Amino acid sequence: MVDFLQNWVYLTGAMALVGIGLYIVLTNTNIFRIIVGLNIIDSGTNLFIVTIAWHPKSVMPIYTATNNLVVNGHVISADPLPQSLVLTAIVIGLGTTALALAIAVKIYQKYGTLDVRKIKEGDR
Amino acid sequence: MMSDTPEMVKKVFAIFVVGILIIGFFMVFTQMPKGNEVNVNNTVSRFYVMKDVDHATQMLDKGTYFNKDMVPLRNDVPYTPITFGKSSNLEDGAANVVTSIVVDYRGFDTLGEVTVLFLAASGVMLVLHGEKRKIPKKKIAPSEIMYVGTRIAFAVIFLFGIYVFIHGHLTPGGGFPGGAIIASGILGLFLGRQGYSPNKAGLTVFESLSGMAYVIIGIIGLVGEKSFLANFLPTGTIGDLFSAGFIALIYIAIGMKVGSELSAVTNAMIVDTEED
Amino acid sequence: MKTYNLAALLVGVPLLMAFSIPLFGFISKQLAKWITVLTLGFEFFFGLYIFLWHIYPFNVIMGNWLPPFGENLYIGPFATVLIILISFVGLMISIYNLWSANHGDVVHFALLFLMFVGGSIGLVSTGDIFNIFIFMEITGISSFALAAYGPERRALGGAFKYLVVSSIGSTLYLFGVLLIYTQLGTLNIAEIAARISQTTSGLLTFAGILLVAGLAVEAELFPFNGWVPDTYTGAVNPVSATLSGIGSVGGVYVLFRILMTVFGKDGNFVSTYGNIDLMALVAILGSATVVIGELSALVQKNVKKMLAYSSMAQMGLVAIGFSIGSKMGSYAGVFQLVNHSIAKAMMFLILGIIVSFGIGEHIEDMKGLWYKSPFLTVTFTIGSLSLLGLPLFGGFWSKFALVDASIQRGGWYDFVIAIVLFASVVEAFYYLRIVGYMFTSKPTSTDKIKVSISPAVPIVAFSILIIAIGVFPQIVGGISWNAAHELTDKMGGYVLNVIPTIVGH
Repeated sequence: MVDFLQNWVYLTGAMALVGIGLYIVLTNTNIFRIIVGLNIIDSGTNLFIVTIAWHPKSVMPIYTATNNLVVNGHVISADPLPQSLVLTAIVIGLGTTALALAIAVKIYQKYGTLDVRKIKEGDR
Repeated sequence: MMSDTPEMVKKVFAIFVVGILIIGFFMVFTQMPKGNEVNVNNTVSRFYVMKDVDHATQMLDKGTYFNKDMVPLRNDVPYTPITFGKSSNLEDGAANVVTSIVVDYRGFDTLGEVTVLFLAASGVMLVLHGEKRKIPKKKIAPSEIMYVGTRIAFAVIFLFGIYVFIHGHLTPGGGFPGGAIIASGILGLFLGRQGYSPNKAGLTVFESLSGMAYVIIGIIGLVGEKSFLANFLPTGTIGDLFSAGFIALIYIAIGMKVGSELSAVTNAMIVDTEED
Repeated sequence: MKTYNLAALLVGVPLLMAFSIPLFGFISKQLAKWITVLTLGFEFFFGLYIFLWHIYPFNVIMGNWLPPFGENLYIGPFATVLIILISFVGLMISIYNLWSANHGDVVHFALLFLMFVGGSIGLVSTGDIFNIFIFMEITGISSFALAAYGPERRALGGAFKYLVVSSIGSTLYLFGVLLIYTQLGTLNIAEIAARISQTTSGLLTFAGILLVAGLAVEAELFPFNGWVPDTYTGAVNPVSATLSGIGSVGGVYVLFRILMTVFGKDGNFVSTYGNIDLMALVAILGSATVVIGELSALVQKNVKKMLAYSSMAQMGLVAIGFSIGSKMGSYAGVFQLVNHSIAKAMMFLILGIIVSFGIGEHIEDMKGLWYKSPFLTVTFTIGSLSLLGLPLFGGFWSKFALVDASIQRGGWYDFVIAIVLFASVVEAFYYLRIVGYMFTSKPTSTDKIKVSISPAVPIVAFSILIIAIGVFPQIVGGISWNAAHELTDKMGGYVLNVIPTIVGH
C-alpha cells in the first residue's frame, strides 16, 4: 500500500493540476482566470518533472561532508537532470506569465474589460 | 476561448478533452518507471553525478559504450570515488550536481533560459511602453516604520541574494533564486515609499552588461578551449568556495541579470490603469 | 564525426547583439535597428559560407562535452537550407523595419525581432530535444510581444490568444519529451532516434501524439491553428511577415525532425514506430488544414485575413509533402516551405506599404492599385502567381514535385493529388480576384504611391528570388534534395553523423 502510494501520489497530483488548469483555460472567458489556469498547468508540469527524478530512497544530489551520492559504484541520489530542467521550466513559466499579465493590463486599458467575449464584440 | 458556444457545450467539451488527456497519461504511467523503479543509473545523469563524462566519452570513442543493439552500457563506466573536501581537479568542480548540469554540462540550455527571461522583460516593456506611471494615491501612506524598515531590509536582502548566487555551486540556489531575492528587496522599496522609482537607465545598463558578460564568457571558452561555453578555469577542490571554475562567474552574471530584470519588470508593471 | 565549433557564433552573435541593443538604444533608435540588419547580415553570410564551401554536415560541441553527454548543434543540409532561408527573410524584413517600425518602443522591438530570428536559427540547428523546447519558448515569447506591438488594439487579442495556445502546446511538447526521458534516460536527439524502438510502444505512441499536438501549434496544423487568423490580422504587417515567413518554418522543421528522424522507421516510405502511424496522422491533419484554410481564405473580404488563411493552407501543403515519407515528398516539402516563406513574407510587406498610405485592407480597396503604383502591383502579382504554382515561378516546381511524390506513393495518397489541385484552383480564384481588381478598375483618386528605398529593397530581392527559383530551380533543388536525403535516411543522414560509434562491438 505504501509502495502504491509512493508510486502514484505525486503523479496523480501533477495530473490533477494539469487537468484543473486546462479545464480553467478552456471554460473561462476572463483573461485573468485564463492566466491563472496557465499557471496551474505550469505547476503541474513542474511537479511531474520533479516526480520522475525522485525515488523513495534517494538523497539530495549535492556533495557534502556527510552526503555520499555513490555507494558501491551505484548512484543513489535523486536524478539531477530533471531537477535542472525544472529550473528552466519555472523560469519560462515566469516569463510567459509576466508577458501575459502585461498584455492583460493593456487589454483592460484599451477595451475596458477582461472578458474575451466582450473583446471580440469590441473588434467587430 | 470559443466565445460564441453556449456554456454547457463548452464545459462538456472541456471535460472531454481533459478526460482523454488524463486517461491517456494514466495508461502511460503504468509503463513508466516511477517511485521505487526510478533508477538514476539508467540515465545519462549517472555520469553527471560521478563527474566522469570524460571516462564515458573515452568508452564512446573506443566503441564500447553502446553494445551491438545500441543499448548504452552505462553501468560499465568505472567509478572513481569522490571525497568532499579532498578530490581536486575533477572535470567539473561543483559540489551541487544540479548546478554542474545547469551551468556546465547543459550550459547552453541556461544561456537560452536567461534569454527567455530577458525577452519576457523586454516584451513587458514593449507592450507597456508609453504608459503613464501610476502615482499611487494610497489612502494610507506607508508609515515611517515601513519606510525605514524596507530600506534596512533591502540591504540585508541584497547581501543575502549575493550570498546565494556566489555559493550556487556549493548549496541549493544559484543565479536565478539569488536574482529573484534581490528583486524582492527592490519590491520592498516600492511598497515602503510612495512613488519610488529605481534608476531605469541604470537597470538597463546592468542588465545588458551582465547578459553580454555571459555570452563573452562563452566566447572565451570558444577561443581558449575550442568550444562554446567550455570551462577555461581550474576546478579546484570540491567543496571550496573558489572551485568549479567558471560556474561562479556565470552565476554572478546570471544573478545580476535576473535581479535587474525582475526589478525592471516590476517597475514596468506599475502603470496607471484608470480604474475609476 | 565532423566538428566545426566556430559555428556556435550562429547562436552566440545574435544573443550578444540582442543583449547589447538596449545600450545602443541610448545613442539612437535608428542605430538599434541597424544593429539588427548587421547581425542578420552576418548570419546570412555565415549560412552562405557553410553552404557554398560545403562545410555541412557538421556538429558544434557545446562546452567540450560530446553528444550524447552534452549539448550539440547539428547542422546538416536541412538545417543549412533553413538557416539561409530564415536569415535571408529576417535580413530583408529588418531592412524593411528601418522604414516601417516607428511606433512606440522601437529599441525593444528591434531586440525582440532579432531574437525571434536568432531563436529560429537556434531551433533548426540544435541537436538536443529539450533545447528545442527552450528555443521554441525564445521564439514564442518574442513573437507574443511582437504580435502585441502596434497602434491597433486588435493586436492585443490576437497576441493573447497565441500566447495561451502556444504555451499549452509547449507544455504538451515538454510532457512528450519527459515521457521519452523516463524510458531512455537521455535527451540527445541522435541517441533517442537510434534507440526509439527500445521504448514500450504504448508510451511511445502517447508521447508522439503529445509532441505532434504541441508542435502543430507552431506548424499551423488543424485543429491547433485557431490563433493564426486573429494573430496575423492583428499584428503589424512586418510582424505578420515574420511569423508567416520564419515562425512557421521553425515549427515545421521541428515537427518533421521529431517525426522522421526521431520516430521514423526507415523504409521506402518513412513511417513511425508506435501503435499508430503518426506520419499518416499528420497527412490527415495537413489535408484538413489545406481544405479548411483555402475555403476560409476564399470567403474573406479582408486581404490580410485572406493571406493569413492562405498561409495556413500552404503550411498544410508543406506538411502533406513531408508526410508522404519518400525522398521526393520531403524534397517537395522543403521546396514548398522555401517558396511559401519568401512569397508570403513579401506579400505581407507589400500590404504593409499599401496600408501605410491610408488605403484599407479590404479587397475593394485594392481596386486600381496599378494606376497608383505599378511596382507594388507587379510584385504582388509575382507573389500570387508563385503561390498558386504557375510555371516560371518558384511555386510551380514544388507543387509539381508534390503531385509527383503522391503519384509515386499511390494508395490513398492519390487523394492528395486532388487536394493539391483543389488548393491551386481555389488559390487561383482568390488571388487572381485581387490581382484583377488591381489592374482593371480605375480608382477614384490617382494619388501615386511613392515607395522609398528601404521597403523597396526587400520586395525587389524577394521577387527576383521567386523568378530566379522559377527559372533555375536547381538553386534550391540541389540542397533540398540533400535535405530530403537527410530526413529519409535516419541512421546515415543524422544519427551516425552525430554519434559515429552508436553501433558498438
